[in-house]
Amino acid sequence: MSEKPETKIVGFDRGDARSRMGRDIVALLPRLRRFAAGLTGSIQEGDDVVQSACLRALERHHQWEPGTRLDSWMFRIIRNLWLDRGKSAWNRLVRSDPDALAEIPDHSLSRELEVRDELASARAAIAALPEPQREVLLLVTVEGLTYEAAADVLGIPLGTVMSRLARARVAVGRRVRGDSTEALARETGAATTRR
Amino acid sequence: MHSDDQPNENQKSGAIDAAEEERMIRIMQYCDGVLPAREAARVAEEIARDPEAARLAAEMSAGADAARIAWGSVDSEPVPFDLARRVTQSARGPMHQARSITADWRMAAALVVGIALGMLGLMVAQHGGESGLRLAGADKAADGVQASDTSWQPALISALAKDPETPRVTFAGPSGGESAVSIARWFDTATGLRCAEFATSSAERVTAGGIACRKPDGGWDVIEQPR
Repeated sequence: MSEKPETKIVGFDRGDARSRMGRDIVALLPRLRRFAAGLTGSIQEGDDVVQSACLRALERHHQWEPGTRLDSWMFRIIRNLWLDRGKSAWNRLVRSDPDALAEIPDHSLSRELEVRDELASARAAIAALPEPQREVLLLVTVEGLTYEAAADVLGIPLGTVMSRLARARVAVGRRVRGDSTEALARETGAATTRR
Repeated sequence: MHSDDQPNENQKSGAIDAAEEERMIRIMQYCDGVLPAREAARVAEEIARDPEAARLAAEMSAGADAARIAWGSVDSEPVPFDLARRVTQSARGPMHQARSITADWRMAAALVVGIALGMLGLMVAQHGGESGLRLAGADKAADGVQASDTSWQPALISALAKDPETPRVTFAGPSGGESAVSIARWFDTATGLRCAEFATSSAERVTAGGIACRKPDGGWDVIEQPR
């Protein structure tokens, strides 16, 4: 027993709720950043919101009910902060800088021109969505929340979530497929011309 | 009994009536696999029979794929050092957020380290180490400290491999003496991640601590907090 060195863990050594939440939030950061980037239209702006949201969550850690999903709670805080700011980088970038989304790095996909086109086309299609549809698309399709969990995060009825999600997906799908005849062939399974 | 107090979102676009919307949602639920078996079979039949339904299903899937393509890469990027540090510091309590810390280069050695286990072969040490590690998100923070600070990482990997044990793995420290990495305890996060608290020590003195959380790909995300 006495041989064991005194290992005082730095940073997270206290077992209190705030510390535990900090640990869980750090583990969630990649997903929180992705959601915020999708919401704001910019990684930088998204990170800014994520940071504020994390600090707010830690301040109010007692408001989180253990046993409920921390990720949903964090998504809700991020979204509320974003609404509070009352401005959308999307609106700016869509108007002024169609290439702004190119800042989002994508090492795995950027190699093939063909795939890069697909990426650009996907981002353009998403940028064209109304914001209420975009946030549902992000929560359900990208973050993997159930329709119900997304309704809870957004504070809207389940039917509204499903309606917005379906419209968003059809709109994006239509546009992406229109952009790429090859994608069309792939998805309908009508042709398998790719090697 | 007017429905004006419940404005229908459809009315703006005017393009989609209620029946069409119902069908879209039905097909979406089918694509997402959330329908009960019997209902799913009915929708499958509808898709097989009706080219318009088939087109909707294809668009529905393409739309979801596009969203994942557009944003899928963001979460595999290293979390920026400053962001992880601020959250970590804030979790320790507002008292600890001394402003002077920002300027302290030793504090800047708090690294967000993405460790890929060797067999994935994804990551190569930037400074010639043989441990197959990459220091991620640390570029601007780690000038001058990486070379002396990475010696504990192979030991950490060995220790983490012993989950759920809490081993103490020794290694030759930078100053020549015996150093060690100890796993203090294992825990699961609310979101189902498997994580360990660890500490590094040198000559019985704790030099750093942190947490490591297993990534879905088998690697580890590590946040280190130097003492």
